[in-house]
Amino acid sequence: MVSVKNCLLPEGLLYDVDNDVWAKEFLDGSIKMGITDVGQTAVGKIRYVSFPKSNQDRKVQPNKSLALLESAKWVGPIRSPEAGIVLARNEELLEHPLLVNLEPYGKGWVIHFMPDKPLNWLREEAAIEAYKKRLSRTFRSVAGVNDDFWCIHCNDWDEV
Amino acid sequence: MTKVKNVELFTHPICSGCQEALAALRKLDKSGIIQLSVKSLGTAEGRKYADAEGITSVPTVRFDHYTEVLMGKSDLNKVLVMLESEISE
Repeated sequence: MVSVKNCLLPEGLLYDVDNDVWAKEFLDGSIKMGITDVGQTAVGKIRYVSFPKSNQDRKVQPNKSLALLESAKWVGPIRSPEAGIVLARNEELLEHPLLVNLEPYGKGWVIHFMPDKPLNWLREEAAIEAYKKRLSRTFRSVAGVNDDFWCIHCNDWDEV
Repeated sequence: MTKVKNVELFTHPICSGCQEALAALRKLDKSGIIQLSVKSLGTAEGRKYADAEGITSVPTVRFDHYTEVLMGKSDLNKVLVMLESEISE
């Protein structure tokens, strides 16, 4: 697994670097999405995850909120990258939102989505280069991680 | 007389277990059992130090040549027992 400033970036995923979202492609064309290691460190401890009911069992348009993540000082959505259908939500996050911090690429996945067309997000070296470029700039996060940004991996205690 | 042990605790603002580890070790520090040094990875200085020392996960406790990445309360309790027992010997 590649790391940039201690931020883990698994190979084989697609990345929306600007929004700190990753996607894993499946053979049927569906994708699982979550927030990246950079994203989870920048926003801090996730306290609530919710899923808009309006997206249930119907087609959603591009750029619609599929999930809402909330930390102590930040609220942000994961948006539909293309038009498509929500196949599943990680409802474990409703009770254990901290999974987004602890396992951003594993149990912390957020949405399983079937886009109408393949994503044109960055992958592999292109994504790593984009993250290197982004993290080389002065960084401001809401979690007390500023300037020389460096991802952190917190261990699980009693909350999960 | 037993020499007071220098203990380093690596923490970070978003870490859930860090506060508990910090509270427990501060008690030992106040009791004079250890001398605690907290390295916050939320600061550039702390990150630089942690990077040089190969610490990438928090909370992590280090003393003498011993390093323990605390994965939960049981790890913290183990470290506390180690520190307290060395003093009582």
